[in-house]
Amino acid sequence: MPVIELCNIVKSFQSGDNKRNDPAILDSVSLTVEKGESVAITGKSGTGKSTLLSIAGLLDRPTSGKVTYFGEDTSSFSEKKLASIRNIKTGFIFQANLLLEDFTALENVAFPAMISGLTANEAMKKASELINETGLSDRLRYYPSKLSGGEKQRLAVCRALINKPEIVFADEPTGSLDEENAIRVEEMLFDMVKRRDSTLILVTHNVEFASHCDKVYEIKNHRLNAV
Amino acid sequence: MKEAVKFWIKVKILRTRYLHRCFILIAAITIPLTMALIFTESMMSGIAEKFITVSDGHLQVNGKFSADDETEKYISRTDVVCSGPVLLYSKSGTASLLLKGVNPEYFTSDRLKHLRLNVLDSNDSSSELPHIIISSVTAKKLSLLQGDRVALLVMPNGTDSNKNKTVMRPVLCVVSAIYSTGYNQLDETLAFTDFDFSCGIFPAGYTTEIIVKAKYTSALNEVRWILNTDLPVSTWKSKHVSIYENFEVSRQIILLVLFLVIVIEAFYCSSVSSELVNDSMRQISIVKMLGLSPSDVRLWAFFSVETTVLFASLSGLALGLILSFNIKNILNMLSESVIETFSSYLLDFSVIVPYGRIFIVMSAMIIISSFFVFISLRRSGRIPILQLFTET
Ligand SMILES: Nc1ncnc2c1ncn2[C@@H]1O[C@H](COP(=O)(O)OP(=O)(O)O)[C@@H](O)[C@H]1O
Ligand SMILES: [Mg+2]
Repeated sequence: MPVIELCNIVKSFQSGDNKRNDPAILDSVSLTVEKGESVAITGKSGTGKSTLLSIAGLLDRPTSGKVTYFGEDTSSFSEKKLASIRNIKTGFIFQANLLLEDFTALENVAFPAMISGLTANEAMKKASELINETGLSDRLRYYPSKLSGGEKQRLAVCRALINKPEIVFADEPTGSLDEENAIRVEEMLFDMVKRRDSTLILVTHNVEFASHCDKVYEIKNHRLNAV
Repeated sequence: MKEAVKFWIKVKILRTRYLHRCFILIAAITIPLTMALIFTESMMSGIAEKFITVSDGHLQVNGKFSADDETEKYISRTDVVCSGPVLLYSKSGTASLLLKGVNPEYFTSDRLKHLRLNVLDSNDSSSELPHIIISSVTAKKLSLLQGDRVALLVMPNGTDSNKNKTVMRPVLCVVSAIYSTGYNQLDETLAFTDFDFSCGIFPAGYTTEIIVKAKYTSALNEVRWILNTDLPVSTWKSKHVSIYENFEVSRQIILLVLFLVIVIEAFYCSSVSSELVNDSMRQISIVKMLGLSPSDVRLWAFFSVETTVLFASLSGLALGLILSFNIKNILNMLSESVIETFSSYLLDFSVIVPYGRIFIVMSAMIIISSFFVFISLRRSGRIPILQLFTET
């Protein structure tokens, strides 16, 4: 059974106070992703890659079309169920560093584990083990403002993976990093995802990184095509 | 509540500046609020106690009354006194007083404490003149010292004077002691003398003052019926209606002021919670992406503010209580060092904590602020995750 199935997704945004929908950003996009697969989505800026990812990640709803998770139609899921899916089944990594500024590195990584029901202590223990894998163990007590972009992004990867999600969504995770750091983060992401046998859906400009994925797609003229 | 929500609340409270400011402000408001409640209550009960102990008793039987076995168990003490209005003359002035004739047993240690008198030296029989005990207020007004002589004029009683037109001859007395309860309104009008002497000048002035046992003081009207006497009986409250009513009015005004303060504070709390949400938009989007539901977010926002308010109120309350229990020391220090007039003010009241009223005020504070915070936080759950994508 596919992990995610997108079926004829159409997405258009309402512009201004005009109730009419603008021309569709995504038109009749379909995609099937199997367990353990890694999928790259490429395309020029503004073509709707992030929009597609947010629909696949259940952060936004399509104008029409169906998103299926493990064979279940997600359109009827309640806010509570969606929250639980975001916590346990999926993990997100964005281009912008989205760590919580009031939390230390350790607390940031541990937080999704606390949401899943672990006590603060259990979650912190789990998080520090995970962070140790990435060689950031001397940064546990640092606040994000004291960390470099590469370090923050590695922590974001840890945070996305702490609950062993089935699907990891990454939207240009290395877009704002220099090449050296970008490679480091990318390697770490692929490695951790592979070891957990998770599914990866990666939006990227970088042809080199895209080529590491099992499948590569491109958005062009509002449609998704295999490359 | 989820562990994560609790943790996030803790982080927010411990690491957010304006929540610290909110804490300090509310604690700072609660301290004087608590003290105002305690202070007024203590003052009032202190004043009432003075009147009851040295002026009237809880109940006054208009005549000579002695308790029987049945009523004995409600009563701690009865004193038959004989009193009437007099004028005192000295070279420097006159004073119109109620002169109360009492037996030596009247001056129990408790009463002496309230009058701030040491043991009365009644065997000072150097003078055959009647003894009177006046207050320091009267003494000052008439420029009298202990041992001085003073002329006493019995005021004609309205009904008597028509029948027997006795010539009012001044009687010379000696000031045997000077007392001070600390409460000027009482001191201005009261003087003591020997029971036998006052019986002579006020043949119809008998009153029995009854001090009721502590556990029955709240049921004076019931005790009054149990006395079962044909003589008219009045209570302390009915005898000093204006003072008692002043107390009640002051209480209500204080409560009103406190509620106004609470409403203002609640508005402040709601603005703090708006600030909290506006400030945390990004954080809220992030934690929703990590799996907190909108209701978790509302819980977080509500309890971040309300926990701060609760802890601040409790700290303020605790500090207010500590200060109140030391208020005597503080006032005494003030009266010694700074404010001379304080010393004539009522200082020796015991601190009474009106727990019930404090509880009501605190509950109102929590409930009203919760309401305002709740209103201002409704939108916090609706903050979308999507905005995270548009950031670069
Ligand atoms: N919330 C929105 N409202 C209106 N238009 C939007 C919204 N989000 C994205 N768009 C538009 O959709 C198009 C695709 O955006 P996006 O998916 O972010 O592209 P990409 O990630 O490929 O650069 C852009 O032209 C953008 O302006
Ligand atoms: Mg994008």
